[in-house]
Amino acid sequence: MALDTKNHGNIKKGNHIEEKDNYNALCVGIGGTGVIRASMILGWAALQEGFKVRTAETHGMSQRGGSVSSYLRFGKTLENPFMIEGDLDVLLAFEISEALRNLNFVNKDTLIIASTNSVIPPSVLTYQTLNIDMNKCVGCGNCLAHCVPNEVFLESRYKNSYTLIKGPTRRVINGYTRVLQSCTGCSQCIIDKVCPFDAIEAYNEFEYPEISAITKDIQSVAQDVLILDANEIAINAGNILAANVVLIGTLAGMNRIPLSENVLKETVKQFVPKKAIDVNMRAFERGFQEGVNFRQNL
Amino acid sequence: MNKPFYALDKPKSKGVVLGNEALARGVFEAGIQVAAGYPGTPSSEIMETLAEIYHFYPDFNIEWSTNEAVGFQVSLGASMCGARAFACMKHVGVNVAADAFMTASYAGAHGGFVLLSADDPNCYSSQNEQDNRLYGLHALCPVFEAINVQEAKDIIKYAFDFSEEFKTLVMMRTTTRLNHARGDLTLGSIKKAEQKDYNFDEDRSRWTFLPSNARIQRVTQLERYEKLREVSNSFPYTILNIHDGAKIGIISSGIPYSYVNDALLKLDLTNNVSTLKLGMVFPQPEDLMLKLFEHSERIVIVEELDPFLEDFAKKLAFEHNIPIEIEGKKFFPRNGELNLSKVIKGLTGFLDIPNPFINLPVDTHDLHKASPRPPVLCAGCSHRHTFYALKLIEQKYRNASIIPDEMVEPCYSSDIGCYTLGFYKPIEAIDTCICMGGSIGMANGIAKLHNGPVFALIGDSTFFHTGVPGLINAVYNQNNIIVVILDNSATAMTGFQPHPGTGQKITGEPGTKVPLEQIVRGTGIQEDHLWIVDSNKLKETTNAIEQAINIEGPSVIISRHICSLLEKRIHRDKKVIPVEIDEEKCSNCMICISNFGCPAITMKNKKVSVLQLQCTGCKVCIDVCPNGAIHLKEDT
Repeated sequence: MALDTKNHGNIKKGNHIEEKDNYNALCVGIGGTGVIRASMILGWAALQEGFKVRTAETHGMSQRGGSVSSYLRFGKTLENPFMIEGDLDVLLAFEISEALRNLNFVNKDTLIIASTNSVIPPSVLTYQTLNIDMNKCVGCGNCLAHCVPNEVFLESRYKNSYTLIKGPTRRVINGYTRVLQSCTGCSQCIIDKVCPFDAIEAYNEFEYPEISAITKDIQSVAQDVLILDANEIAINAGNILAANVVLIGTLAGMNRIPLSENVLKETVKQFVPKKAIDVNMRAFERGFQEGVNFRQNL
Repeated sequence: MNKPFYALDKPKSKGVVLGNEALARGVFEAGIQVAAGYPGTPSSEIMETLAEIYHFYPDFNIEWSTNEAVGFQVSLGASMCGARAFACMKHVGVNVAADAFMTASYAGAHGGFVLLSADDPNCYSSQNEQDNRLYGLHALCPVFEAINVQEAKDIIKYAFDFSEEFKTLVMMRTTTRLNHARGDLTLGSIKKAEQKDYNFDEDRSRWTFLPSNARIQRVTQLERYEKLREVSNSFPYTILNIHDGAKIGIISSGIPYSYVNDALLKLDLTNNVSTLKLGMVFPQPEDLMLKLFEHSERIVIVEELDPFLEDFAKKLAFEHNIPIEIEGKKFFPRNGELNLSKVIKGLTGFLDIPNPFINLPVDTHDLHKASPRPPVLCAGCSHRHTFYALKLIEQKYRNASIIPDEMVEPCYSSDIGCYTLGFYKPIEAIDTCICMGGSIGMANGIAKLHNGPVFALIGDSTFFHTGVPGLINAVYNQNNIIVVILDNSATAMTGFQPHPGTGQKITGEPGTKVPLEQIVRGTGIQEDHLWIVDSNKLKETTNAIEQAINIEGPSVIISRHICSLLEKRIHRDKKVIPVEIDEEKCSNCMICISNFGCPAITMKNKKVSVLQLQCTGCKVCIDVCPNGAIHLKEDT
């Protein structure tokens, strides 16, 4: 924003709509939770307001559960849907760690609205395993005897049909214990302290930071940050699926981009099933109120 | 059913649509008679949108063909009959259709013929990022590109007129960023196809490529090419914008041009450079390029992937003896997708001015890092169950060997589809993925040398696409492979499109079902070398795999269970009974999470727990748990 040399001579930050040629917004979250729908609603609203509209998405290959980013730009002179890094007016995050992932698009004047909703990727669990410190291990095999996945398989009621995976997840090879591919990383051997030499350590390839740490990080980079539990608000309004509309309402309440409350509301109505209009309008209103409260506290 | 915006007969109305919807609208506005293709990201929604439009205007033909070659040939046949025809595929699909394409471009089009090639820079959902503009050069076929959603609709509509006027095939080349971007679109008027008999063109020598005919057609093609070179200068969507006093000239096309437009705005240089925006990128407009050279001191070419325009511009300058500096790939990467940041970086580098935006983003260096979300198979995915059975058998053989390293690992030659995600942890049962149908072909070769068992893993739609010849080859040459057909009754990865094995057409109307097992038997696979199992029954699947390993000669396992997402779509009202964990029996061994890897099972407060909303109730994890700690919720 600060670098758009035109049209921003006498702007007061925070409380008003900034007059610019083009506006940049980014909606981020998890696939299948209404992220792209939210950016479509904003896009159609921008069209109603007479702007040129461009949106683009990046998402992983899987049908569900991947990171989704939907870039939205509207205005008078733009042509492409991508903004440059750091040039964002609004970041809407439907999952909190996705806000963290996209902070490279943010500058200190960017408005950030993020939901505390957190979805831990399965890979955090499936990629965890054990390391054995070769300097400490003497190959005593105590851990083999106490391997939880191994033991339970020996006693399994499926013993007859699945004797095949009862093997240990570790083996002693050349005098050292090695972790095999079948290790589940359950870490029970560490919890139970079965290694007399303290040679086993957990290894996490990926970690999902604590929500409080993520919140702190987000608040440290920009001035106007609102973090709210959109899921909770949506559930109170009648349906968790309306969480995306809660954030759209919040954005409208903030009054920071030139998409009016009424146009946004009408657009939401067109995008949700008829029987869900009431729930979504309640969700919008509650989100709107959150936005208004935030603005008044600035 | 409400009429979607892109099917409205209201010229001049405005809406925000997906690039693919706009392309479908353009094809429809052109008065299409036949459309055919094969699903492939990022092109699939074009045909699906056309099929949706078909519900309101059922006076054209549309089909998903068995593969891209057939799809291309279907449309070519329609063009031979004088009708407007459209073939739709992703970039690598054009490779499959290339045999027909290379020769058909000699004969050109009778009825307007447009081939859509959806390229995928950065391989977002593809095995490579080949630049299909080069096919235009290869086949001397004109290639069109659009800079935004509106142009996409307008140009593809115009392409049919162009094809008929110059009797040429036309390739409309798009990229993911156009196909999957949304933008504002103003609708145009719908052209009704001419009501007449479309019978086969009588000109037999034009369509029969005996050497004697082919030599004549080759000359026709070259003459047509000369004409197209000339026409390119007056192509309505090619725009030369010369600014007096500008020393810099920029040549660009398609989505990269949209970045150039915005980069110049950002850098406040719009009035200081001349631009040549190409709508037809092959053949290139030589006169316009020369004019730009004349008014500039330096030229920069902004294009994604290969230096297609750059090489041509340099050749042109050389031929005309113009000593002008022409740059391109020196400032813009040859791999991956461009974006606004990269274009600003390249342009400032070329102009040798500082990039004013380099310090714009906040410093995230000291912040926590978000954990990545590598793609996973969905909850309840039947592929996971087949993979798990394969891994159980693999584990059995590993445990049976005294030293694990001594076991010769099995080889899992694989293919293109959702199941390719089995490459990742915890499954790791994918060793190859090159091209559609390649799993079986490559397994034939691997089996000649590899000492362990050789599996070919292939999906149902991919098997119909190009898998069958590989299986015939294995039977004929007695290559010892185990083909596992992962039949989930859909082309799932691209969005559950039907295929011959489902017996449903793209329009939703019933077709004739082609039974997979009949094709397998027809290749000569004996009854005792064929197993048809339910993927969700682990015991059945493991038994079949073990038997298959222990017999000589090619064998086939059809592991069948409908895609869990598709099942949910079809039976929306069916009540799902999720599973839950019996905490007393659970030992937290994490086998269900770390070995099985269903995303519906997770850790909550250091205990294994089930995400009730995600669980599809497939019940397979009940068999996976060694403690009997997982049960259906109603059990209690």
